[in-house]
Amino acid sequence: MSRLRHLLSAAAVAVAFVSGVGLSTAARAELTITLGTPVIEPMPFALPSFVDEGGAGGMAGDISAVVAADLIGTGLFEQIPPNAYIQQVTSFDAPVSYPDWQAINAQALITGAVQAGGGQVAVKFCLHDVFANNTLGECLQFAGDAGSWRRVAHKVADAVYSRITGETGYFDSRVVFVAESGPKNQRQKRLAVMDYDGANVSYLTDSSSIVLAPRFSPAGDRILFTSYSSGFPQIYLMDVASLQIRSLGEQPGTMTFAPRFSPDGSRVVFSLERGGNTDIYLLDINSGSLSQLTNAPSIETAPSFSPDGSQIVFESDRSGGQQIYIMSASGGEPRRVSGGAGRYGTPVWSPRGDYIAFTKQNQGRFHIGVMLTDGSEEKLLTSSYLDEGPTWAPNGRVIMFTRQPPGEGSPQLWTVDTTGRVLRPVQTETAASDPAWSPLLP
Amino acid sequence: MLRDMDRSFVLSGAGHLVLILWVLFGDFLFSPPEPEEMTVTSVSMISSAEFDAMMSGAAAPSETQATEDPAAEALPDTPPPPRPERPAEPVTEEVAAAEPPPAPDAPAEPVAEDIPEADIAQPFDVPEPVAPPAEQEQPVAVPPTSIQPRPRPSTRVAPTPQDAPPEDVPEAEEVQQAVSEDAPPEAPVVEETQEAAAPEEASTEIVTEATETEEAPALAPTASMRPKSRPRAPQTPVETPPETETASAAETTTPAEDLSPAVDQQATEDAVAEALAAAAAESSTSDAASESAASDSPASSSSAPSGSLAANGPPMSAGEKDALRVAVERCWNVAALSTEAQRTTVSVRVKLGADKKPVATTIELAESNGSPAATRQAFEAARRAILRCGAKGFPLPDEKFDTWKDLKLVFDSRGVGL
Repeated sequence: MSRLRHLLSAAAVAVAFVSGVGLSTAARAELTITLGTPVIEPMPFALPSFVDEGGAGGMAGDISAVVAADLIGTGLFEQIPPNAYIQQVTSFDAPVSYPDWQAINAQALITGAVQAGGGQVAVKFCLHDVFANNTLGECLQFAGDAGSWRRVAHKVADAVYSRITGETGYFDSRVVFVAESGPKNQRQKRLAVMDYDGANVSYLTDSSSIVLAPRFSPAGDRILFTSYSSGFPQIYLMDVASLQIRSLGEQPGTMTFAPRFSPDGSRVVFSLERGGNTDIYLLDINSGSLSQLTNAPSIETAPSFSPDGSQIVFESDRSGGQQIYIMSASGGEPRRVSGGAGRYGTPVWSPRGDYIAFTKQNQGRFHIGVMLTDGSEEKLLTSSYLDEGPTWAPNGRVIMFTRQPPGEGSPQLWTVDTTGRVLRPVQTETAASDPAWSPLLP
Repeated sequence: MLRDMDRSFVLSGAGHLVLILWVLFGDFLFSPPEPEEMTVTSVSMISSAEFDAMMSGAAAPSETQATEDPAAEALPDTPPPPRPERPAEPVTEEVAAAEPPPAPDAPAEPVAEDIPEADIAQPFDVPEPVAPPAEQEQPVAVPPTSIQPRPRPSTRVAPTPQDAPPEDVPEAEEVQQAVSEDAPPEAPVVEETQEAAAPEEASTEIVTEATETEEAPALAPTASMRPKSRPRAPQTPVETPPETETASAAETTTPAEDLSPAVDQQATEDAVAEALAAAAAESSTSDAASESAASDSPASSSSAPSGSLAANGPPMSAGEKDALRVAVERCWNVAALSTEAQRTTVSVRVKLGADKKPVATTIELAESNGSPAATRQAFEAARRAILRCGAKGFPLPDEKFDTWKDLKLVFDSRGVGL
């Protein structure tokens, strides 16, 4: 009996001891290191020319070039020169030799193939995580009209960008802007639409009258703009497909300008000048009902909806200088959000809802900047003789604006990312101003 | 008279002969100071040999990398604004190429210049408590750097050699008594010999301060610190392996002691109860120790997690941790991440092989504070960093494999980006 007690007690001791040791062993086994200083530099990627699997010809290389240009243009990626590639990709189905791509420090590899025929083009591609020796996500395929091969390429770039960054892309989008030509004192202005990268420009209006401030609808199928065709500023609505135009909110003896769609596209908020005073109004497009949102002796203009449609940000000089205010979408007392030195104008709410882009004038310089919706964390992204009119890319990470050089120079479109690190001009056929980004194309 | 003359002549002759012989050989018999100097010089030779032996360890090269890496990484931080088309590769390649040369040539100089700023105090304090359980602390050449400040003022201010001798006399006595306990007394002893032997050399030493920093660490730490850790290390692991796994020595001894009396009859139940209580307390304390070690942040990393880590192997010094941290950060690129992913902190577990390279299949996400999408982006960036910069092996000390073979890397990029 005593012997049994001994055995049981010894077993209990052993179990308790082993359990304790096991717990402590499992808990202590690893060394923890905390990292807090990452590098911020473009990610090197390799993009061998897509393989022609029949009928593509030079289109395969062109599509590859557009994909690479899209990624490089973000400033987040950097292409490794093709002459440095060790493995030559001659077949889309050929196995990838990851060590060869690791050797040239390619962190991402994009392989693809193009097939064309019957007026159609199809592109399939794979994104590889070189150091993980695997693909990032599944391989995809896009198809479309042969004439829209650039859109197909943009789609591929969007997929790659989205897969790596976690953000939605913005390459397959368009920009409406004012194309300018002629001398400065007799500048002719037309509405034009182009791909986000300046390609495929098409003109929507002639140069018979001055046009200003075009704005895409949330669906991208309509455009609001201001025209002097009647002799004074008046807002108009254009159907992109048919190019038909009709006036909005026309009232005798008033001027209307600075229109912008509501997020659902059913209403338009704009400025209306009556008797020397400018206030903000809201127009229901379908019913034509008009409601006044502000009522102050000062100038209120440049309204922009929040993405959820509940608030409107606008500029006002009610404090003596141009500042940014936010009010409810139904009107009411606004609250001022800008507080720094200088004048703030043309606020635009980010499609992500987190930031407000604006134009700032201070000490003789113009800036494009962003701030949180409460006015904090203001960051000036550019500085120039004249920068103005920001518009957000569909993903809310890039801003396009107009830069006017001093003297006889012509205005040009530029883009800057929200960090301010990537600032690039947009190549356009003519001088350009007043850009407005469309949503991502379907 | 003639007999008296002969006697006196013989006596004088013998006296002169003795005098001549004394003059000829007396110097050899009575020249005490010289042999002492020779012994003193031999001491310095021993210290340099030990220093070389230490430098043959892996600790020194890792430190040189650690010190160089931050400098190299400062470069990419500053360029971002102009970034347009500056590839990251050349920078990293240049850094990698620049690392090897300094290690073989003059490891002490770069270390002495960079480390004193931040790591002097902590790495030196760490080895002392850890010394008992450690196996061989000698390769951890970090401690020498901490002792550098002491000799510096005396040697540089050396223009007054008279002040040093009086200190040496009492210190020499202490050394004989204390055997190996006190490190500071030994260092000044060496200084005496240098000053007495060559005042002219003082000028050459002053000319190059870098060389002084080299000699100082070699002299100071060699004697006392290393012998201490050696004898103690083998004792603890050999006797009770389970005890070494837990940091609390007192608690672990109680169950071990209870096992032996368990043979006794009446004490069995009490022994069981005590053992259960001890085991429970033991596990809780070890968990707490591991948690404290796991919460090792960059700011507090230098305070070596001696508790739980000491059980696996020699603890990592602050310099060695920094070297690893910088090595991974160099490839940790968050530029292409979404703002949400940049604000997401992910903890990644990875196992390292004996070749110091990460085992790709063992990389796994441990923790995250972001959404699934942001977590995925942040984790993939972290994985790329581990695999890229670990492709050639991380700068880690060979003898501490048990310490770093299982890593948990916390990637916290908050504060970076918009």
